[in-house]
Amino acid sequence: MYYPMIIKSLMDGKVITRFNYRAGEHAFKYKINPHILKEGIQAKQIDKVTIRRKIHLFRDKDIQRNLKDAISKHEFQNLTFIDIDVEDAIKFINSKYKEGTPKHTHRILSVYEVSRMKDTQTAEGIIKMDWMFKVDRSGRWHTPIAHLAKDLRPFLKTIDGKRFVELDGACSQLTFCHKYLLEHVSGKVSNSNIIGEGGTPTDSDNEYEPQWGLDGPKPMGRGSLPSYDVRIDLMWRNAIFNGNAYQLLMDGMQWKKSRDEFKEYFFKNLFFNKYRPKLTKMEEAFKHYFPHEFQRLRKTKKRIGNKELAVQVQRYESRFWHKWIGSSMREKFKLINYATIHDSILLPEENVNEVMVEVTRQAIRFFNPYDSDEPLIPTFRVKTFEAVSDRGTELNRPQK
Amino acid sequence: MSKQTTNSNGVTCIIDSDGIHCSYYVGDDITFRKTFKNLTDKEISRLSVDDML
Repeated sequence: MYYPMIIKSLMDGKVITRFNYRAGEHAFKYKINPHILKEGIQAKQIDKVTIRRKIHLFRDKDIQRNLKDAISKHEFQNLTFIDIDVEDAIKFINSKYKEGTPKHTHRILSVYEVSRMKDTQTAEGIIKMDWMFKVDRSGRWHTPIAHLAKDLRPFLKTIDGKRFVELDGACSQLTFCHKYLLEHVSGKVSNSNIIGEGGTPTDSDNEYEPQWGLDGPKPMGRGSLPSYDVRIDLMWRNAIFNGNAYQLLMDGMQWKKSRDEFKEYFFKNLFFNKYRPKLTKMEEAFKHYFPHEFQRLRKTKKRIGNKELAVQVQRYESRFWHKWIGSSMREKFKLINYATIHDSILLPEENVNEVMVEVTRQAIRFFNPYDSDEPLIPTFRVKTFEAVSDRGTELNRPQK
Repeated sequence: MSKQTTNSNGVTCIIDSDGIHCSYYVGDDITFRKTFKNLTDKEISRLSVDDML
């Protein structure tokens, strides 16, 4: 119903021209005016209140859909208590990046976007805000904080001026993936006898076929299966929960480049690459060292595809950080400002230790749903942004 | 002028005069990045980890 109005408005504004009209025929063609093509589209303030309200209403509908529960509302509210040192951040960007380059422009825009978060208002029953908020299908939150370049995090602060530190899990993707593979490929761990490392996968490992739903694999119900053996690569499991899995593989493969380059190579060639009959070098190496985890990973990729595997692993991550930790933050640390950045959390430095105890406690519950004599305990680390070096990287930053 | 958008697969694209700069956060501090020259809105909305490898 707005279509003719939009066309008229574009024509009135000399953005487009109508041509090729024939009387008696409902055929119109439009072309963009040459000055628009030459000068580009310029941003213009929307002055008309009714149009501004319509835009807010449209955005509000999407936001409210994702903020149905009290935990999400609490986390969203916390985002509006975060600010950034605009002047210092811009000075830093100008000193490090060449004006006009994408890195410079994107950083400047994101600083201003973060600075607008504190101006969020609830009025006339709708949330009025001028910053990005989107929840993707894995449950990850996309906010200006989550998308802020890492070298600008030192400039973040709470609205009352407290600086942030970052708390994250070492090798967290590997731990979430391990849990996912065990629960969805091997069935419920409660039904199985975990047996140790050693040997290569046999045909009996393939006896159990999991149930796969239309929208992805579903966990098996408790007690629905007879007991069977699940083979675990103990060295792998210890390495991911101790946080040294990447180093272990780098040593095993005699990797000469940087740690980050290795992790990128690892994800591109083993975890989230497409299933192909011929193995990549990384897959060959992983299969050699950790045959059982490799078999579960391969089976899953063949069944649901690499794209869906990534979504499923991130669902575990989102559930842990947004729901489990979000719930703790709301119930136990109501007055502590925080923001989740996918697989980590920003907290004021003075509160990080008490929250870390709770995060570890929740992680033990998350990764050990059944009683165990030797519970899996993930490793969490704190990254500080106390100073910014000449290269703009965080100092004292532990390796993940 | 640049425009930012995030699709349901978690791929974020910044569209400016140089092209469409896309990023996908994998986890553990690793982000896959790629710049595309021409993509339609529909193609942008369908980008996934597959396209970022």
